[in-house]
Amino acid sequence: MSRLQGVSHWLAHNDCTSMTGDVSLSELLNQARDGDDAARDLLFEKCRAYVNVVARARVESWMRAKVDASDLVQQTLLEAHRGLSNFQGTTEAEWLAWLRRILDHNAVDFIRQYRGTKKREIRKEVRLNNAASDVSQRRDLDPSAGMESPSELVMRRERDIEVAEVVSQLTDDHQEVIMLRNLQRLPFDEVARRMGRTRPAVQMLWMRALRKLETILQQ
Amino acid sequence: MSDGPESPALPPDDDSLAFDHLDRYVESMHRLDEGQQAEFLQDHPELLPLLACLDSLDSIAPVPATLPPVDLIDTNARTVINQSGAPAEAGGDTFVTSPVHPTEFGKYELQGELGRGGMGVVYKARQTDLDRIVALKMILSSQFASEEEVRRFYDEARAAGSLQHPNIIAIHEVGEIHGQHYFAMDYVDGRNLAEILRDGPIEVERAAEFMQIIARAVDFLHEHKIVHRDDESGTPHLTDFGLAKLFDSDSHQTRSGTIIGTPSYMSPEQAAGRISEISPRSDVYSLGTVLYELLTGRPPFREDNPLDTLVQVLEGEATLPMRINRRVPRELELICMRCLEKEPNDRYQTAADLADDLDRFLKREPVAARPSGWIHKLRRWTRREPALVSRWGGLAVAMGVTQLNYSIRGIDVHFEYFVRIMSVLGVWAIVCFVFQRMLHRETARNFGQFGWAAADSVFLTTVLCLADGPLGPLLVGYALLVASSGMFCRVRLVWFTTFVNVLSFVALVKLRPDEFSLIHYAAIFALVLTVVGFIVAHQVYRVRVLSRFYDRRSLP
Repeated sequence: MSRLQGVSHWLAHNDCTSMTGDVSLSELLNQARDGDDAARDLLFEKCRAYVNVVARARVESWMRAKVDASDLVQQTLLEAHRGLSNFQGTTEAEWLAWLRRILDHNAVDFIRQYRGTKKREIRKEVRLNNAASDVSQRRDLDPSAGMESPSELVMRRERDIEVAEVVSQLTDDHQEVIMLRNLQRLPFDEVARRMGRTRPAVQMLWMRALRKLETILQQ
Repeated sequence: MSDGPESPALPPDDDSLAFDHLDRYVESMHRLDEGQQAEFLQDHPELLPLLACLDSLDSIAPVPATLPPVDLIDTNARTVINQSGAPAEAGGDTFVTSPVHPTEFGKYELQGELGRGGMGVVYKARQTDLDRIVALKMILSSQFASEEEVRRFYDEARAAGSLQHPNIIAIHEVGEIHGQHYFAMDYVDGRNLAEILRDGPIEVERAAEFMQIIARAVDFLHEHKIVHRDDESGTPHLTDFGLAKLFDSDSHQTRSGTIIGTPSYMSPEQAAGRISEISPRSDVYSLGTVLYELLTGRPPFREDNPLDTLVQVLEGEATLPMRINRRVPRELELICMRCLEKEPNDRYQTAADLADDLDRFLKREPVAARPSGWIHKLRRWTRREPALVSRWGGLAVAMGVTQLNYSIRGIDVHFEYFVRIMSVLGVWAIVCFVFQRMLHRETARNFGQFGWAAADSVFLTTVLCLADGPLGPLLVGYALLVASSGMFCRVRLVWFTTFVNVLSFVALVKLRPDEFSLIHYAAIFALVLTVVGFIVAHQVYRVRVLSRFYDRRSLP
């Protein structure tokens, strides 16, 4: 707990300076739900990088390979957009958890489709259509199975969105090393193997990526 | 599997040092080791921004709980568990089981891991034919399990399966699917003890009610000749019968076949491995530890590592619950401490006796647990304060001998001399008391241990300076101090004590040159003292290594 206190204290201290947007996410959320289209677009714009990073981390750790997850991101944002009126929460944490839950549901289908299409070599367009119809008709998975617990929901922070944003601004190399080491929690040996480099090299790369991440965040 | 940095390959600048720290932080984060993370934050405030980045990244990462049950997939996947919807394809990379896919296991769909222990793992699963949720318990990595382990697993299931009790988890089925042994039992949705206690101690009355239910259930087991070896059951359901704890977050569990259970919740006879002495009264003890934790928020004994915990369970005395939580009524404390007696005969003889007494407490009737007599209290106190008691004991003997010497040879001994020696010994005893108070304060503890060692040495030297010659035999006091410093099991403390005592001895030689006319004898004594210190330190070191070994070793 003290770890969290420490970090959140630091965040509280820094948030005032690091907030780039003039409106907070929760305000944006409220405006968007009240029917403000501009706020809604801005909200989704802000969350796109986050969804993208989470989606990649999710499917790539399952597939153990690089995966183009843009369809999954698209689908998730689309569903979130459509279902915004159903969203009950008020905080950023709840909002992010909601996005992740939609993503989790879609990810399963996405992987099924992805494997299927790879095997049967069906064209990509078909997959996109399939995914769309499939997802909307599928009954929801039990949210209690393998989903985040309430305490984890509380821990998600607006800060995560910024970090995700910055991660997607990094160079490909830096993105990949963070994806493998931090988001997929792989040991460095494995990271080195996947990236086809030596272990000391990926360690150096990781350090540089983190420094870069920190620098951009501080600005 | 730590990812230690390869420092030689990295440039020796502060980046490589920072890498070292950050990597260790990430590792501790992945292990969910919050304690170590907190330490890091304290130790490296300069890295805070980076650590916060790492935190954020980790919270973006997929939740570990939704990752596939690794051991099943790695070891049994190909033959046992098929990904739903498609038959397993040999060699296909498609075989990676995705976390949110329900994973098939016979007629069960695994939905998530509930917990794991040294040998077993428990999954939440849906039984497809009856469409109900069950808990499935399996042996971790079945193909590595010995016959003995498999037999114990079945014994446990059979024993549990024969029972019907509203507060005991029912077993539905025992079996084997493709070499994976399992049994299915009721799934209880609720918080476990650790989760309940996360918000601090629960209300006293509730704790008593809760324990009363559990004690009745345990008594039911005892009547059916099952000694429940592992009592940390979380809900008022007894969930588990020996191998792995269902709802447990403690990592120190089930280390070997001989000692089964969490050291913190183990009775002294179990901790000492006296298997033949394990009886229902051992469970009464374990029930006491749970009650203690409910009342105070922590188990009676919990040290940094299993070894220290074991030592405490065997020799130590728990702090009275009232000292930790003032709202604990005296009667309930008596009940709790009676369960925690070291000697099985002093505890409640059956779990039913305990339940009855808790009943009386809840009905506001006088409880059967009586305050113990003064001899008993004294014995407990000596267990609680071994450092003080041993010193006071030694000092008392020294004072007694001095007094005796004075009484018998009164005329030859100067009164002044007698008073001087006695008062030094007396001050020493008082100082001991002060240091003892210090050991009880978390912040002063470290200083207390070292300071006490130094003070002992100084006082001994003072006494020797004042005492009549020849001092020869009395010098053994230094060796005694060095040897006894090993009792704290801290290598550094032993070295420190040795160093201080050698120094004090040198000072003594300077102060009383007449006593050490043969200076090379003094040199030999100092040398021997150092060697004694070395030997003690080495033994302590060995014990520490062993302890760490058992702490880290993970069972198949």
